[in-house]
Amino acid sequence: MERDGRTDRPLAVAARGLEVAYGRDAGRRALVELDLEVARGEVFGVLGPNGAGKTTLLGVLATRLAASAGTLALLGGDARRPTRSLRRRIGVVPEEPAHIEALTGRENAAFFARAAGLSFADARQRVGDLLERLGLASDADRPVSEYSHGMRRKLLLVEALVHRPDLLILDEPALGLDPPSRQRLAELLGERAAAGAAIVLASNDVVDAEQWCGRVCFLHGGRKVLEGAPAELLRACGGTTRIECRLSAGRAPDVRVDGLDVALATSERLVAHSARGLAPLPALCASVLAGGAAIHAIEIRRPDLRDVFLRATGAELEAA
Amino acid sequence: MNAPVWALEWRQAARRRRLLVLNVAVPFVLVASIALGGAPRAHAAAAYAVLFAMFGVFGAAVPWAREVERGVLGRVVLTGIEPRALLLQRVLADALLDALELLPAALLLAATGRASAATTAGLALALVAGLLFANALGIWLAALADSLAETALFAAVATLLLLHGGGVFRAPAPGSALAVAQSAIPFHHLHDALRGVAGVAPPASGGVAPALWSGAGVLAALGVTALAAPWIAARAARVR
Repeated sequence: MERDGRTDRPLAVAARGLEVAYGRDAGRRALVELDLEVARGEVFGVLGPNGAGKTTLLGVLATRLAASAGTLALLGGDARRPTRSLRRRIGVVPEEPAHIEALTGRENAAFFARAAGLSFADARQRVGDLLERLGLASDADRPVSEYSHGMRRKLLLVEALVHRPDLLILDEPALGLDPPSRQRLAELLGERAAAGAAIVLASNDVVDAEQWCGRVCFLHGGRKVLEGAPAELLRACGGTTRIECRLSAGRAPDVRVDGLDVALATSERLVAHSARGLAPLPALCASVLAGGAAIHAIEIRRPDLRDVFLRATGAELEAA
Repeated sequence: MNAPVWALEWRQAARRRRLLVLNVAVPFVLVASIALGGAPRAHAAAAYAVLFAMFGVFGAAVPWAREVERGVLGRVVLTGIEPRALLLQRVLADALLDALELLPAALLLAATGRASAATTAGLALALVAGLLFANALGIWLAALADSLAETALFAAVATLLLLHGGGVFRAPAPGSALAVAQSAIPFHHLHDALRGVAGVAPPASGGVAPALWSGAGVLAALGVTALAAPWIAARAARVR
């Protein structure tokens, strides 16, 4: 098994030149020449706007989709020919919370545990523990057809964690969860990572990604455009203050102010990062107004991973 | 014994009480209306064969396609369950469930036709064989289709073709190649058993041989399904 060059831990995911083509004559590519390494014990985030290839990447890592080109080793095994034992070491939380509607939450989780090879006794005990920890115990004996979206999402987590996988693939794991449940999820993921599992999660929530992930990568148009620890990426982004102006202008304003780095300028919005706090703000406003634009609102906040993506691609994480 | 899919199918059937009642009542009412309606016996037997075969094929194909579309089957495949175990447990459980659901209708036929115990037992065996074949076929058709609508179309066309091939709608010349080939389609034996229960004169190819051929047809269908299980499971895991 390959080892991680930074930590010397075994690699759970080692992808080289990964591509996924689809459509007529496989003319469209959802993933393009993607290299990726995730070590055991690491929590790795995959970020990107809708259509960037996040779900496709997770589908390949979950052995649901086959790559069109490149190589992919999962837990030391070849993902092109996933064996039963390899799949039993992987836990998957898909985006859609599909369950067996006629059965109760407990029965659903027990079924997936048994299908993953657990004994009846182990399945019962672990399902009970996880239902309790995720706050689902009191509803565990109700049919899933009566569950809310959040409860269905929690049940997905129970089913993915019950066999204690060495590789966890999570698509928007916190979607629909209330703050206490998010906290419990963060604890569970932390425990799995501490036990040596690799966790790969896709999210649109940059706050979760910053808090939970040791490293993240950004996908854009199927390509990996940036990768690193959130803190490093934020440092490299430059600036300590993000200033956004909502405008009415005939055209994008041309703003040049010392200490201010303009990341986005359209006739409706201007986003800039300042390395000197709010000091450049008066000059910025003056420059915009001098260009004939009107300023409707100004938002000031600390830069986050959305700004890292904006700087790297010129596109916005939430919009595209 | 770890047979989670087998247990799942029985548990689901027990929980879906409305579906269970419909699955028993609808075939019973249809069979009763034909049996008590004075239709010619040979035509009635053909109608029963069509009904029972459709019940098995559609009952396997449509839920499979729906579970693929909803992503449930894909999730089951990704647990690492052995594809052959997944398919064979499902076919066996669902065929037996279908047989139990059709039992009242079959017993009504035996009662109205004043069939002997041996003839009735023969019908039960032919019904189970036909439903095993129908369930395996249903999963194949759902795997080949790309949508629920396509699944229903494939199921209707394939079932009618196999009923035709099995001699339900026409009788090939005895001893011809067609007559030999039709024996291997379990719907043929089911039709013969239904004719026997309905009191139609025994077919020229009567005896033990058709039952053996029919058994071979069922085993072949299950064998081919088992061989193709990894491919069928991989198709099920892909989101459409």
